[in-house]
Amino acid sequence: MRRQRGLIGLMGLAALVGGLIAKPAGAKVTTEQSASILIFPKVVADGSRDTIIQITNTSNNMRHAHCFYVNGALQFPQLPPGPANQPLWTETDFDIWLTKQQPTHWVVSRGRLDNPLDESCRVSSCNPNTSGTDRADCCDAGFDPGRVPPVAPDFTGELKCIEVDASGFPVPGNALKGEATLVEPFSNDVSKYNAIGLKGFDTNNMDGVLCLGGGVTSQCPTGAEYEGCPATWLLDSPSENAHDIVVDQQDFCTAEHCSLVSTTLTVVPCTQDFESQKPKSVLLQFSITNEFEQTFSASTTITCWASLSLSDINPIFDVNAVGGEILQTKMRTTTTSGSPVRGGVVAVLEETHEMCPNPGDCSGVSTQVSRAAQNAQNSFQDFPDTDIITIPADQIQVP
Amino acid sequence: MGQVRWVGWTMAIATALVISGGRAARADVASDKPAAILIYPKVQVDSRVTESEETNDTVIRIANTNATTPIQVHCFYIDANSHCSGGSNDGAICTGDPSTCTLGGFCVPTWQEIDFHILLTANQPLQWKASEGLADADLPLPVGVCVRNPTRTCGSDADCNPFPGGTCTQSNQGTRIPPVPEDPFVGELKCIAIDDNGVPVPRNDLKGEAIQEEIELAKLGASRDDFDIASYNAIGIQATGAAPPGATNELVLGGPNPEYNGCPNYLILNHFFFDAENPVPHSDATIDTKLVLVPCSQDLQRQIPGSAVAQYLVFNEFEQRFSTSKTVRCFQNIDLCNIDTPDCSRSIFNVNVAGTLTGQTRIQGVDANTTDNLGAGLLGVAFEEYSDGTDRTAAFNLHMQGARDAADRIILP
Repeated sequence: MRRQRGLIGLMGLAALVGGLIAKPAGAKVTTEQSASILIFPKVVADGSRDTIIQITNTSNNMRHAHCFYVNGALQFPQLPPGPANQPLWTETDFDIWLTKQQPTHWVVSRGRLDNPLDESCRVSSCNPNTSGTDRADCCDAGFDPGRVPPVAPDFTGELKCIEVDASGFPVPGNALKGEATLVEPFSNDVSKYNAIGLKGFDTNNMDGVLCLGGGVTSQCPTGAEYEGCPATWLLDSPSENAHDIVVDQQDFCTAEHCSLVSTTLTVVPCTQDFESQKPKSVLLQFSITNEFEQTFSASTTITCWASLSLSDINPIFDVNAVGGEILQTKMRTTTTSGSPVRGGVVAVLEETHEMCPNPGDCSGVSTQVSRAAQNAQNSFQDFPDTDIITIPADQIQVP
Repeated sequence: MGQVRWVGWTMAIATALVISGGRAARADVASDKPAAILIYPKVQVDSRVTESEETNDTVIRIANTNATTPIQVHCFYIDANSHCSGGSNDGAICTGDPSTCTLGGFCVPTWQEIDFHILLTANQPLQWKASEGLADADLPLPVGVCVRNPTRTCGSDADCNPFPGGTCTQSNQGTRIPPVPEDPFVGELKCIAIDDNGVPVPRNDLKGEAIQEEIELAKLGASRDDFDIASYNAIGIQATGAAPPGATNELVLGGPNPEYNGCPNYLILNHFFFDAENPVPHSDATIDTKLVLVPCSQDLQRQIPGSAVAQYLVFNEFEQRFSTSKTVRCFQNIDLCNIDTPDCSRSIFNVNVAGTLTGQTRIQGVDANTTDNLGAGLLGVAFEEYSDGTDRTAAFNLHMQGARDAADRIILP
């Protein structure tokens, strides 16, 4: 009897230990490992820039994904954002199938046809003006992943791909990786970032409610199905209108400065309801530290999708206001009266450097512009509340 | 009775595992999380204005993500230039151009490190040009000041002694970042979190980026200058918090008793095949990818560079597979199409050979059969170059997969 009591006590202890270990899933998104959800926060096809999407199946089995383009362009793109000028938040979805270890790509303004007659690049070369058409040949050679639609004109938004099984049910396969290349066709200026990945867990109950991080709730009866989205991001950037320290040292630079640097921050809330099409708003708090260890703060609210220059977020990011050339910014989400849940966001940065050989004139034709995208960093010690992606029920079926 | 006990133990363990979700912690290297070791695989400087009229430099950024505590960092520039041995140009830099070595001289890869210290205050970001470094006068906070008497400079609390209880503010005192040792320079930068005594500490507080900048001045006939930047995140190796299994100057990455997370088993590169046309409508450029690989292991004390045989598995969009291999010693900065052959038109990385625009390449470091017993892990970044007369470049971090059984080692002087 005493032994049995000991065993029961041991089991209780084990359960207690297990319970202690079973804290909610932390935010551990990855930009370097294959995952079950891929998020490309910044996708542009607005006439001046276009985007190449690359996605790869890193497993030795056939994999499938259900993808959503979310158009975050403003209703009136010429006007500043505001309550009367919200993002469109229209989504377009499609499915892709990838054979084992297969890479694929497409240009978002054109999409990709399902055309097995495309000639191999061994036979013909790629004429970029035929990408996505029935004469694409080398441009789209390879096993087509399915019919990838082109995006709407003047698209600025995100692409999200969720790994599903052959029947369309979400699964934690962790076999997808991706990259986005932003290209300015006429100058060939390019910048590239890795898709942000959320790893899936075996707790996935394969329904249309995807639970990112957090614990067991009524909506998430099995707890977290995917890694949580970070509520805190670490951003290194130059201050707005700072100067490029390499350009300014060149012989041609006879003025004090011959360059300007700015940074665009693209942020997407992780909670998305594709069924009711309700865009999510998030309040972002910024804690900014310059190289002199001086700290400032700012905040802004974004809805659905936002791509903002740092100076649009707050003038404190300007070099003259912040008093330093290089900044470390901790961006975190916070709860509001209308949104008591502290959700997560994903973010990507893009720096723009302007070289102005005519001293003091950065608007002339001689000005050269180059951009570089960067994946932002996040912390291991970050435990936001659950984010939920809701997929319409009729989309979870045989594609 | 023995059976009952066995069942009880099994149930107890199973219960704990079920409740805990049975998810084992994974040890991963990551460039998107702060870490205790930062690796910038490619730092390039060339301020000579040569026939190509190109000049390039690298801006290094590093930040302490800890909001309260300063951090000491020990950094190493690893010079991977090749130099002429013998001949009339003995000692001249011949990286990428063996014809520099004349009259019987040979172009020999060399490997040399220089190291320096940085002190970052709480939350402080810092940047410098690799060509110039950061001298005392350029430091943002060269000295601290006494809190109770801001007119008095100090290096430590003891310097504020006339003011009882006075403390000294955090500063960069002791920091001196030298320029890279040669111009032109190509190589790696590695930074390790240390304590005040120079002993590596498991503080995952460092993050960094590198921005490679290239300026092409207007050539004869060209109407405009050209300017290009490409940035990547420094690769972070997180400390596990475990005590060092051996000497304090021997950092053990992965393996059975890891001090730091292990290097990945595979690096995965998504790329355009060599000479692929940019598929974006109205563009007119061909794409070439340069791959930069550095070994995880290095003996900085005995100046023994890490080495590994990189095995490449290449898949095109038809699911067709190719493979090749090449030894990486110290540092490799190579066009994809030169990995398997000097003739790019015959390379498995050529678009006309591969048959599709894009591919996936899986890279695994295997032991180069050396006697140094350092380990064969690899890390890297890629640079994608779009050329239409001028070059535009995008840099990006490689994906990683799996953990290696064997440990990698970094041995510090």
